[in-house]
Amino acid sequence: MKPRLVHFVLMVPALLLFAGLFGGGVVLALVRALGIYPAYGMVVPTLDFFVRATGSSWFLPSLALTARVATVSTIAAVMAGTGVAVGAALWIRPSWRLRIALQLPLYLPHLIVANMVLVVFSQSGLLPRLLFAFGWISEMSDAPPLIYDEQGFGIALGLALKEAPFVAVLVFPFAASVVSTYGRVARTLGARAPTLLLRIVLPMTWPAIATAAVITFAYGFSSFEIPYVLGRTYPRTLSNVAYDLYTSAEPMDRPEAMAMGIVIVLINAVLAVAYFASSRRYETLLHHMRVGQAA
Amino acid sequence: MNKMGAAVVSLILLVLAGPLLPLMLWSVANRWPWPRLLPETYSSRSWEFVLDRDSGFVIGLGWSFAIAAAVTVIALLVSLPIARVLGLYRFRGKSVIEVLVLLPLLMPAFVAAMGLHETFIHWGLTDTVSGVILIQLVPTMPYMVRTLSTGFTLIGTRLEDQARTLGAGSLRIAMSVTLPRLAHAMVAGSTFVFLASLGDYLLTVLVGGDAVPTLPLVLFPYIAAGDRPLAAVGSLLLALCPLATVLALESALANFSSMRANQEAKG
Repeated sequence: MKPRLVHFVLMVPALLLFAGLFGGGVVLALVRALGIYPAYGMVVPTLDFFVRATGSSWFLPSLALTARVATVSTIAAVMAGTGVAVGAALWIRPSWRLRIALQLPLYLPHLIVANMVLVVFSQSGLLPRLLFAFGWISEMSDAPPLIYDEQGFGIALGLALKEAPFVAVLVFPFAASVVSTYGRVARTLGARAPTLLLRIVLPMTWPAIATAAVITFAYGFSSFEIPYVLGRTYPRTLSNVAYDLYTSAEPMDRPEAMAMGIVIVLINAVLAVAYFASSRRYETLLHHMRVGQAA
Repeated sequence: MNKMGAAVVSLILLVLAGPLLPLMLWSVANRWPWPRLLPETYSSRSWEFVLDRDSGFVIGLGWSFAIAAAVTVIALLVSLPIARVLGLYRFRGKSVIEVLVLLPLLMPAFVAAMGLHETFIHWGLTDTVSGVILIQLVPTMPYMVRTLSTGFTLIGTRLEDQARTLGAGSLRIAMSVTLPRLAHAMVAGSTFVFLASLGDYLLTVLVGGDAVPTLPLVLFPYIAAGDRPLAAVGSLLLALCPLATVLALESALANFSSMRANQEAKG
């Protein structure tokens, strides 16, 4: 259908909100990152703060940590989430109870997930206590240091736990739809579970899985609470560094914080391009699903 | 649902409840020294402290609910029109608008919050509830627009056209044809926005500071300081209230759907 003029008017409030708050916010952050602070008499744009932010000795370790936790958590979350979604699609009849059961963990706030990881995996946590009960360790200090560790294992674990349900919720409707249409045909023709899984369900839900993976990675890359609670003081993830610079008492740390923020925005922009590329195939999939359901 | 399915769903719920169990134990633990698997002594002290008005937890929960409700209502009202246009119409430049609307979903909203700080000071929005509500719209609106526009695409305009042919006015069509049929999408979008707002820490602290002490802000120091019992009670409060809200909304929706199904069967 073709829209009329009134329809464009209808979009104005939302577009103003997006452009003003998000666009405006990022542009202003960029202006500050370029060192333009009329209040301090600084009016000439400079790349000094970008150089300072990316040139300091902690930048590369922070970038490496951020990339590592985002990658590891994405792989773990995509595998676990897809596993649950495909398993549920294959073996459980769809119902609103199932939908809710899959959704509930999605709604746990980041802070709570971080706290759960602390309670279970820290050296005084439940896991080391279990290891002690089994006689595998004899001292608290023998427990593997999973939290506040240099590799960011605790952070990756927290992010994976947070994002796996998201992947499951995104992939489930597609997996369920494939199973109930093409899957049924394949079963009638004698396909067994592994064939069904590898030759039909996974290839056909792949665009949804890829989309979920890109979103999960972008989230992991810029997430704040989980690394802030589960990370050590050095190295920190980029978002945590930006926050620390921003809240520091030194006024000239602020433009550096903004520069750090813009760096994160640029990296996420690359991911956004990947997202829109993958979501085009995702839309095509969505279309096929509807045709499949109608048939 | 078959018995097998019910069993599997219960199993999933059990697995989900599993991680909450240690928090529940900590919330009633008095002494729980290493390496015991269960607390040595129990007490209701932590719950009493958290539920006491002076500790700030209950007031924080109130703030969180009020802000989340406001964010949800505003996001819903602002998103409905644009979602309708994006869901039902084709026009040149549509994909640009779609990208623009979805972009905040993939971007760190806190950078926008940092950039807006001085502007917010200028407008008197820092350290205010309105400022927190505005900034929380940034990461949550994309979900609402996306969910609602899919909803509009799915319901189409066929029934609206029929109603119009039968002489119904625009308001009547909206109230008795479009919105009821959009109920599922509205509940799905609202649930997500509500819970995302409820759990937010960073944006709230950047814009509202100490002046808007929502539950995550009250809870954070206890988690950071490693105060296990109080952190556990606060976490349960912040985790279970949203879950209760979702279940209430979903069952209301289920009732609403069956009520409408009955009406349509009679009519």
